[in-house]
Amino acid sequence: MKRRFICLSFVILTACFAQAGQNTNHPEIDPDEAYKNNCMRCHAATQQYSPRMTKTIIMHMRVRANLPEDVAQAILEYLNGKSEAVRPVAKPPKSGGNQARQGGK
Amino acid sequence: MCSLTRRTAMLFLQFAVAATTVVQAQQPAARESGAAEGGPIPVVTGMMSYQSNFSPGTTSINPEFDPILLFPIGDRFLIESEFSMSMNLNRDQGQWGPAVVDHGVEYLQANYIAHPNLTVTVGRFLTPFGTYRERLHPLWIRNLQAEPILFSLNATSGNGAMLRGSAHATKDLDVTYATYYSVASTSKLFESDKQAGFRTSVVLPRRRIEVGVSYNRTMGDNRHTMLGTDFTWNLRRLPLDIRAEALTSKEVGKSYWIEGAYRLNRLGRNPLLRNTQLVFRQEQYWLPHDPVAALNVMNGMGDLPDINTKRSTVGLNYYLSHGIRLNAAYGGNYAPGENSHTWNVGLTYRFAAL
Repeated sequence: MKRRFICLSFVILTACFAQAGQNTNHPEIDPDEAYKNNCMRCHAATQQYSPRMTKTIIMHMRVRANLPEDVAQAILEYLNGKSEAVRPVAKPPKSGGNQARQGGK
Repeated sequence: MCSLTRRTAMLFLQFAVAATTVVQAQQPAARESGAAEGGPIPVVTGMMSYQSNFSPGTTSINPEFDPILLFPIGDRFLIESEFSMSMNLNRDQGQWGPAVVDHGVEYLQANYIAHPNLTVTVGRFLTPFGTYRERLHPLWIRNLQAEPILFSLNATSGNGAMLRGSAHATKDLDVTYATYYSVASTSKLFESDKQAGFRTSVVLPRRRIEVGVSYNRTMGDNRHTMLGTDFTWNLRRLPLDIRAEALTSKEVGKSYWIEGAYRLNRLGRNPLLRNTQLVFRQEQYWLPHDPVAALNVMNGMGDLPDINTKRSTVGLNYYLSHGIRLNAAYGGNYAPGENSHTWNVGLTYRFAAL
């Protein structure tokens, strides 16, 4: 009985979280900020791949790092160079402390 | 007892499928991101590492190779797996010992992104307790090659199902969650305990702060309950990352680690400085108060120290291009009658193909 209660709680909690995000108005996300605010939470540096490989890696990271969908999309844009903010590829970030887009995933 | 467990697992899965169906029905048509440029393709990636450890009278060599396969099917379904192969060769008192080869499946999971805020995972997965196991433990990501003491308590993978996701709670605050249930397995490659638990965290993306809480109940031979918390802060004004984890359990003791990593890129434009990172970690472990539980730990449970222990480690990383990193560290282990110091040098190479 106790276990069933725990399982039920998990599932209800999950459904609540799933529902919560639907009704929140979130401002448009800056790809450059999305990359620095999320990827660098764990990675000291990231490597560049082809756009289609990057899509796969973003799917992987979306699951592993629990990234919201719009944030994952913004990071994909950043890494695939669609954003104006990422044109100067070799430039290190002004803030956040870590070197961008070299070495490591 | 066994049938109750099976029924519970079935119930959990049924609810997972039901929840997925409900949220799937609510969401708008799936956005085929970048369909014009082609969808995601399979990726073979991974890491090779060569580490050497030196302590008075002992040398150890640890090469490791971890290939990873990411196999997407469309934009919402991903099968992924990591296989780990490592060798441990020790030289003690002037004699090389036998090479011990270890291998195993870290994870082999199918992920279905059912909703912007919900991913359903089945298969073998890394236990989402704290941040070290899921996010920091790969050798090419961790700042210090030596694992924290508390990692031996949650260095597990589970075989079962997991629900996870995140949501924007407010403009500047995200909430993440992961809940899981794992069945026991004694298979060499897919070893796991019967366990259940969850992790939830609050993320302040603009402040680059994440605070998480984890719970785990292990129901195998060594039954125990663990409660953990984790903290990550990537400072905006300084090139400094601060990470910490703490864990408490009546049965296995208490432990914490706190780590700071400082990138020297603010000290000058010299590439030597720009690519160098200094790391410091402090950690501590206390045996459980209960004498029976303490005795279990002393008898080798979870590879924990058999005595209250304090460790300090300082490290230096140098990031070369193309995914190569050189690392060196010096650490001290402080425990009554077991003080020791260890040097570590090595390199990791992160690769991706296909």
